[in-house]
Amino acid sequence: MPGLAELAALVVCAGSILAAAARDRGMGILGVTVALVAAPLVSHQIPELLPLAFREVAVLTGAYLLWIATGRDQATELRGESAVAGGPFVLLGFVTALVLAPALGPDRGPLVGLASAAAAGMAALALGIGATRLLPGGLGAIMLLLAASLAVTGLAGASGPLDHVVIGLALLAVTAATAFLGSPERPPVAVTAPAEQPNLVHDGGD
Amino acid sequence: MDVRLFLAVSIGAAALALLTRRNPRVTLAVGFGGLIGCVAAALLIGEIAEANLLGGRLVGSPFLRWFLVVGSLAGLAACLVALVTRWQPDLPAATLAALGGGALALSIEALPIALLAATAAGALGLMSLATRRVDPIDRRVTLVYLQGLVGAGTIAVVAAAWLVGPSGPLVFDALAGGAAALAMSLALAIRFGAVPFHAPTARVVRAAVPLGIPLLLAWLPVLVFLVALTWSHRILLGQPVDLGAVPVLVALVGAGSLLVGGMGALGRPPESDDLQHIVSYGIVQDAGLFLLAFGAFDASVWEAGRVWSLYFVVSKVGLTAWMAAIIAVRGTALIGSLEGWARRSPLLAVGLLCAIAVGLGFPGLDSWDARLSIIQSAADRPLRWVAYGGWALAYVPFMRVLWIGLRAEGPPLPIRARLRVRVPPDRPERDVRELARYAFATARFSRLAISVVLTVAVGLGGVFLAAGPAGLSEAAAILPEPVLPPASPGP
Repeated sequence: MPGLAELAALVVCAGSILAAAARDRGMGILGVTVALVAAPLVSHQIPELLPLAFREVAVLTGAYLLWIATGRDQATELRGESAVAGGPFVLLGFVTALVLAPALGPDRGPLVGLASAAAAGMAALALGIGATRLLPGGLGAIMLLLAASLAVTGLAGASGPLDHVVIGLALLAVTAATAFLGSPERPPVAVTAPAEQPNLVHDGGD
Repeated sequence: MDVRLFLAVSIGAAALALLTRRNPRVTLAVGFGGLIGCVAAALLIGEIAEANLLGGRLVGSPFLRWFLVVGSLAGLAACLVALVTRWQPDLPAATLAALGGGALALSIEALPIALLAATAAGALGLMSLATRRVDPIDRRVTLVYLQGLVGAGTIAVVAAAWLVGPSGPLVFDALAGGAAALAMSLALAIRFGAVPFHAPTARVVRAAVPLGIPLLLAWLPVLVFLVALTWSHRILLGQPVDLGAVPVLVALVGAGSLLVGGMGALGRPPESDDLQHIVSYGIVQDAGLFLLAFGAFDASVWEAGRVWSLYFVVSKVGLTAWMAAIIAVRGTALIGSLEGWARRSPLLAVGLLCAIAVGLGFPGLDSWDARLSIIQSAADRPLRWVAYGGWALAYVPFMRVLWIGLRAEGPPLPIRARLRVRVPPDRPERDVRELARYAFATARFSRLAISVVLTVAVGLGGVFLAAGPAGLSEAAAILPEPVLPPASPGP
């Protein structure tokens, strides 16, 4: 559908700008989620319904896990006041890629795929560089993986159904890993599953 | 049967184990049941069975079958040893997810997507790093590791997609080919922790439970290597392009990692002279070997590189099982405090020797031949001697640990660890549930003995593999057909 890929690319860019410029975790997760949801449509052909639905459900599930896992953390600030505003760099990356992409030759995917990849990549750098806490660093990793998947679309062309499923699983895996590791509490371990016992010499010794 | 059965078992069991995390007994049962199911499913895979999954092709091969069988057995062994030494509740789920991701990555035909699958598997493996306490240092280590694996995955994906267009591989020149090859090599160097990217590797070795190390730092990076190797032979070497100085540069970094890794474990101050350093610098060394194997860009190392990747995974399971057993028995990982360990626990000495045989090799073993073949094919004369020097240095810390273990001097243990099977005092009723409780209690009291037996079993299994069982070399030697571009302009 003409125009849908371009519109989706603009939404990805907007989500990336929101994530890169966010100061609190809510806006950061929202920006990343917007970019993730719009990304499958950055293509010359609309994905099939089932793989598209799978991918969207996967990213929304991951975003939700990230939201509730980081909600228990007292700090809601994503980045400090002194952090560089990443929004302008994201836009610059998007426009630069749009201008330079035709130089790669005619046998490539949609130009907006590479532009979206550049936008997501710049957002990843803005979030990840200098990050000391798990949430901004993890959001940066998610945006970097999104950039990789969009680069595949921009370079190698439209993704097939299996590709969308794998991309959805990959994004879910990185998002879930960030949520999992960011969760401050762990369930207790029962007696039958041996707890951490670094020195078993003292257990049952004579 | 095709790889879809393995995918269903591994991914299904991983998901179920994660969903039941709040109930440790159920998740334990699901985890181990899933691992046993993976072994069975891997054995049932037809050697060249192909499958269609959602319009995409999944390609089977004899080597894939070998890899999944050995990987499943190694994962099961690692979880068993962890259960009796130092447990991490999410280790089975992380192992299952990694196995599923690995099967997907090695069977998908589209290589950039395969690399995405390998990156996803790497992220899921991080679950084995999660700790119960909120430790800022552990969090920071985990974050750096996550950023490294996603960064490496991104570089590899873009490098793989760079030479491909919508209608297949593109015609590329030396600059494009060289840049893609260099980028892929960089991704492998980061992923494996080759010098100068070795710092996160060393920190992860400290942060993870011992039996989480083979998963995070062996199995998961090897997936990226195998897909990258396939890419280089199917796409990169499919066209006669001169890669210029790239092979020399990659060989230089590889040989350098072999040498620096060998030196890194020697001459440490007493407070940091521990087993974790030996393990971490051993992995840095092996990263150099993988770079040599990839950077040869030659079909002559195809078989040796693939065979070596199996030995690498199995040797790390054996070595970390030995380390976990030593720490459980002696209560410390500091080498200076391990006086006489081999005299008191000769079976553990056997376990260590087996791990060395699989990981570093002894003449006559297939693991030795694979390492030798990689170094000889990949490096020209000056670099070859640097690589040989690094390889020889790798034996030194292990020989030192063995020497300390055989000494008669040293302070006595605070409590003497009796490595024997111990049973609960009260006999069970003739009832299935009571018998099961008795068995569990016996296993719990006899953890030390079980850890030693498992370590030896893993070691002997590795030596059996390193002896070169029939079929492995033939399976690894099957070269992929290069995919040639249609007549179209390239980048």
